Amino acid sequence: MVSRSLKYFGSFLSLVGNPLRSHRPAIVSSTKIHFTAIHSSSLRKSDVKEELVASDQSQQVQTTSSDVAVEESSPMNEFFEPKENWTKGEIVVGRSWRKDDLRLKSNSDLHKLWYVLLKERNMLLTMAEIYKFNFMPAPERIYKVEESMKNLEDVVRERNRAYFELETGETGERRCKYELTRIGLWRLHKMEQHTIPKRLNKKWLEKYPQFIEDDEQVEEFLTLFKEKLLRKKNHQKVQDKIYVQELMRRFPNVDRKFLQEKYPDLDIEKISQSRAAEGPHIR
Amino acid sequence: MSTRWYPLYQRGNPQLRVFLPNFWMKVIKPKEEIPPNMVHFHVSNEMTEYDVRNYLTKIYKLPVVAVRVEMKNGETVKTQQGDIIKEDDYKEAHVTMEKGFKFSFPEIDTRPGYDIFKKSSEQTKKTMDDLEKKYRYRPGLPTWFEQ
Repeated sequence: MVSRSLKYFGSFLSLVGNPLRSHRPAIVSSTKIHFTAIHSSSLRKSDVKEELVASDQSQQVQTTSSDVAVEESSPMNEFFEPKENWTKGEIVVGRSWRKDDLRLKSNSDLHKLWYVLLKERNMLLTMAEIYKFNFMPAPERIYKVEESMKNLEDVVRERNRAYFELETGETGERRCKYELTRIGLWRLHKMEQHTIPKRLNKKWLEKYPQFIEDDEQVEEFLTLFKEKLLRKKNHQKVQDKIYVQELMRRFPNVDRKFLQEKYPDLDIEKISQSRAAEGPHIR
Repeated sequence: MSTRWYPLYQRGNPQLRVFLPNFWMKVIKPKEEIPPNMVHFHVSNEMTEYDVRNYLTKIYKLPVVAVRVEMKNGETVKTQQGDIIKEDDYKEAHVTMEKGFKFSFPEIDTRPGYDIFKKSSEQTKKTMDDLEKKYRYRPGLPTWFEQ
């Protein structure tokens, strides 16, 4: 788990705009940073840090900035990076929190960690705003924090679901159902709680008209829509046929079974016997 | 889970609580001169004044006195491709703290990594020049010949 290489955020980095780091993964020194769980750059409070250290994290976190916090203990400093890092061109940080790490933690620990991550993200967003038209040092931290926040939420959701299934027999998730819209198409509706039931709410019904059975306009629309879909499907079928013919012309020994699996709508044997699939080779 | 789905509150029910808030706030440099006990923020668009106040007092332990939020239009800008686009709208919060509170936006070097960038770009340019020199058009010469 630990020896796996760092997550590489290169594809998203162009949005932040750092050409320096966009084409290479985060720099990792030999042993130290493999074990750091998250961005040591902004963990100011040592008491929080000790609790949140990962279980296999026997080695020390690389950098801490306790001096700055002692000198100026204004809570506004948490919105900015520690003063040591203001002049640094490169900042080295560890990996994000994975689900396997977070599953080991208790609920209260996760709750604390969420606020650490939230503050870290706010700090990074302010710094990104300052470096808006220039290069931000280590912009991948933003993605790392967001990834670990997402993982944390998933773990909390897992526990929630387990509890609800045990107690009530349902997942505690938001309920969904498929519903017919006014024009006759199905959509996934995420259900919500209301003080007035939907069918009794006249104002709402005026604003959002519901599906009516045996409506001429709907039927006309649906026939045209189905025709459109069918045309699209047939066109795709013809395109596939041409592609398969071309393949057979170029490579006469191509695997027929594989092609049949890939294009189940086509009759591959019939195509192979056709004139168009015949190449310059002697039959 | 403040911006996620939330059950309906009816009178008499226990108070709804947010356990994992996912709002963001960032400090911005004020455009005009403001008193030292005021701070300007950019916040999530869903946040209300009460949200901002609770966020700052509960999470950051800041002595908030008054909050004012307003929605701002995103600017219409011209991209490099020549398309005119509108940037996203954003919410700005003007927060006043207690009288003794002092905060001034720190002056931070906006390009600390510029030297490294310059060095690497110089190096890439040098290697490209070398390659161009090596493989320049010289008809008649064999490929193994080096000058």
